[in-house]
Amino acid sequence: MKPDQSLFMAHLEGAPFQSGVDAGKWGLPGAATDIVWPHPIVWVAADPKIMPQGRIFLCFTVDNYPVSAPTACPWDVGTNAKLGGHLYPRLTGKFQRVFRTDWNGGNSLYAPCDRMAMAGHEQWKQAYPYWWWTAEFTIVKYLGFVHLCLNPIRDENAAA
Amino acid sequence: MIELYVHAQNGADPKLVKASEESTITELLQIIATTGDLGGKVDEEIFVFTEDSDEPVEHHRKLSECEIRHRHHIHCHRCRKVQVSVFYNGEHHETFGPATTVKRVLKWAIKAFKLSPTDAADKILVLKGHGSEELPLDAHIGSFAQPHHCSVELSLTAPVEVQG
Repeated sequence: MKPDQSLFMAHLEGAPFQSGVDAGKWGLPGAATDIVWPHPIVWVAADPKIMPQGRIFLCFTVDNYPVSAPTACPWDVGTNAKLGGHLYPRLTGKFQRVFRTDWNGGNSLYAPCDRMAMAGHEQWKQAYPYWWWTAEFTIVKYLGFVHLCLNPIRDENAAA
Repeated sequence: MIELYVHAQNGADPKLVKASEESTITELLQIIATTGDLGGKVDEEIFVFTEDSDEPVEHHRKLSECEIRHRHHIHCHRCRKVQVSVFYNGEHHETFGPATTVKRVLKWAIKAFKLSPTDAADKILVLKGHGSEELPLDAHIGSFAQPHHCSVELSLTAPVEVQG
């Protein structure tokens, strides 16, 4: 196993990732040993008002992890292909463009921690220093960003 | 043996620690101390909290007696309370236990500043003066308070729209 894969697998076993699994925030659709490197599939929980299924699957490309940022594509695990554009999350507010279908063919998220989107958007480094990918991050940073986009804090929760 | 997510004063990420359900809190602290996360030796000045609890558990209690189960989150801190100041278009203060999640603090801040649902939807908390560090919602507020300064200053902010 190469260093990038070895480190990625270690991060899947680490407390930050496992904590999210236990909290129902994200997880693997199968066993970690089923991962076809370098394309792990990970699901992220979503507000049912945004994704009626309550989750979205992402097919990552994580070669040279974590030196190179991951990139991820919304995925249909039933057909093992890119999710149909009509099924992409429809967001409002500051993150409405993250799941674009009119950019890069919808093959990656328009996010400051996504390898494909970072290219050509160096200004994001100043705008989103907490999400601009660095080699110190783990996959949890990317998953946390997606979870934040798909689970906005709403007023009914604020009363809790 | 059970695994516990242990949060402390040294960073947002918890660590997984193995212990027996029949271990006492003191014994658990001794295990955690071997990782260096307590910032010193085990003593009575280290408080242990279950997640989102404001009262520490007693050191002589067993984990099972404290209803601390497999993969529960606990927090070890030398502060019994953390004074949280949040700045937005003004300033609000509140006291929380160190094991309070950032999500709970964020919800409190949203209410304190009387934000509309639209305004609340994309807010995050960052360390005041260190805007590059977003506080993860699952992190514990005590992880951002230094042990001898039982306080933390935060800014409630909304990232600018992700666009080209």
